[in-house]
Amino acid sequence: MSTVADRTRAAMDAVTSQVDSAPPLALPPPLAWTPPGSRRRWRAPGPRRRRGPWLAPLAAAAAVIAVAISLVVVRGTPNAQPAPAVSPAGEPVSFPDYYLTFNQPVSDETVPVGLELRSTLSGKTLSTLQPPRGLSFAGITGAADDRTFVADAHRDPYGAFNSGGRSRTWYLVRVTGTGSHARLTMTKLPVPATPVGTEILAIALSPDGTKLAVGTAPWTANTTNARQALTVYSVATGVVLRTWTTPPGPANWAIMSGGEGGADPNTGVAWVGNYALAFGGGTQTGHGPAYTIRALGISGPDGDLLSTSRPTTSVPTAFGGSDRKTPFGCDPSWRANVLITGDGTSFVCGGYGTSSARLPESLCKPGVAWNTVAFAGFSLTTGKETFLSGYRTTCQGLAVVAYAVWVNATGSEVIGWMHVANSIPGRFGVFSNGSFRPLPIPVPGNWYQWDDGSLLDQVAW
Amino acid sequence: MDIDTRARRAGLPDASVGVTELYQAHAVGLIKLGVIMLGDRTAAEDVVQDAFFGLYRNWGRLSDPDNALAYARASVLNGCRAALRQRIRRDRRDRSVATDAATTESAESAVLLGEEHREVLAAVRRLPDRQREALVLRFYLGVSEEETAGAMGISRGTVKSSTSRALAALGRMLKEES
Repeated sequence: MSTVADRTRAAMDAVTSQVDSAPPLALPPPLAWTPPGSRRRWRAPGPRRRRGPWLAPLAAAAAVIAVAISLVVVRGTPNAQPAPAVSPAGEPVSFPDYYLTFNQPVSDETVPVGLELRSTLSGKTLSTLQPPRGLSFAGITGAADDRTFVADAHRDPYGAFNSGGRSRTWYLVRVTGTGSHARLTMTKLPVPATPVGTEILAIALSPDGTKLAVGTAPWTANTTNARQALTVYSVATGVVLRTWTTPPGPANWAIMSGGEGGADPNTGVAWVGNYALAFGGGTQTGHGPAYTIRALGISGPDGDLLSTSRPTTSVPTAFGGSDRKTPFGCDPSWRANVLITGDGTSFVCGGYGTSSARLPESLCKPGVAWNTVAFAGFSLTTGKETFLSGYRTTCQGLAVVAYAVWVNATGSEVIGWMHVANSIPGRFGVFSNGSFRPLPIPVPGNWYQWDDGSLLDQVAW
Repeated sequence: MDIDTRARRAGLPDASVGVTELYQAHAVGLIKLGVIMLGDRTAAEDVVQDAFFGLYRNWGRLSDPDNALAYARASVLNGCRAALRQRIRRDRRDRSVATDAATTESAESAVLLGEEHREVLAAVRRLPDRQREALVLRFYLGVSEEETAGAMGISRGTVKSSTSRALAALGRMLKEES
């Protein structure tokens, strides 16, 4: 009996069997090059203005002071919950006022990628930030105050397209002002640049904005044996606070990695409060990959990532059954969509299933494959389901997608994307028990549809 | 400064020579990629021509000649996405035309393909963009994980998960339809 793989390959062979030649290539006469957009890619002839070398210590000192001032502001509002916004209908809603995203596809290699601050409620761009000359932003992560972010950038050629292995430099991005007057400011951080040849697996700013966790691995063709590292830096001084590494050898354990839209993943590692990290990894089972969340206190010693961390709970994995006994599970395609609630008690994921007592009975015809998609919260200590919301059912049993991009302190509200079939519009907005409030879809210019997980890593709240 | 002068300064062969050589070596494979994505050979050939024209215009910007094929692959994928979206928009405007772009297929292909293959290809075209692209690049064209990641602008982990998810979804769809 042929497998799905065999059938697919045979069908592709069949449909392309007649393609054995290409028409002649018609190229125009040589053209003069025009710089894309308004920003010049090459420097104009003539001497380049340089700052005097004596300015460097002053600039560095100013940067440290600026970072310190910023962090004092963040510390003053630890785990601050953003003030409730007001919907057009006048009802109070509680989600962050702003989010940070990229101003164009991160895969675009021709122009530098900048950042945009947008209103969560209206989707309007409030402020834009161009990267430093010659650099392009590739990753973003946010603190809990909704006003402090860290972004990383790499050098020309621009864009994250094939950008693995390029050195990354780090910037503190702050929101000043409020409402429509909110503006972005940027300060270079003293966090050391990553060496050339390093892949970024995860970036996560602590809720109080004082520590930056960075997961890395060597950028090699063979990632199976790559030794991964998780490092925590002080944002204010750039000092390495902790470093852990995975053992060498075949890695059936890995830091959770997102990277769905080409940006450096901000979903691979999560903070549990300000002094512990959560990360996960998986092993293959008969039903597909299974994931466990591990916790790691930053007060502990450096060393082996596995032996110094402890498993907390398993992530129930959806495996796409189509009968009425398929339990709800987190979608394994979005390993990184497991978010930790602000109070550190639960994790939230998007997923699907059919049999949970809290999922509605399907009205699909007998024998038809079906699925119900939802967001669910689970206790980090017991693994038990604590809530389930936003469910929708498809009688097609396919194209079922849900992933979360933000969760509040208790898990009662989730911002995420949900999609049940290609012909039905997806939903983006706030899902809470029994209700859904649509929000404008963040559009960081990615050319993928959102049902491919493209929002992951490209937005930071 | 023209394209060729800039290319020479960057240590690249002349644009027309470099692009033509690349086209001769890889156009057939890329047209096959387009045919699977679009179900239409003429449209696939147009997309590939556009991609190489774009490569020609940007030849001097390549920092490394080894990136040229990756650039062309990425352009073909972009072109296929644009063509599919244009088709969907057109179909929405004209309600008398079938609304499922996934099933759109040239008459030539429909006649030549057996029922079994048509079913499979229809299922492949119902996959989300990313899954379909990862599947075709990795699984059919045999492009490496790293190159697939480069062409699609995603991480290697995502290439793996997209391919695996695509096969799982195909399994569900084909089981449902058979």
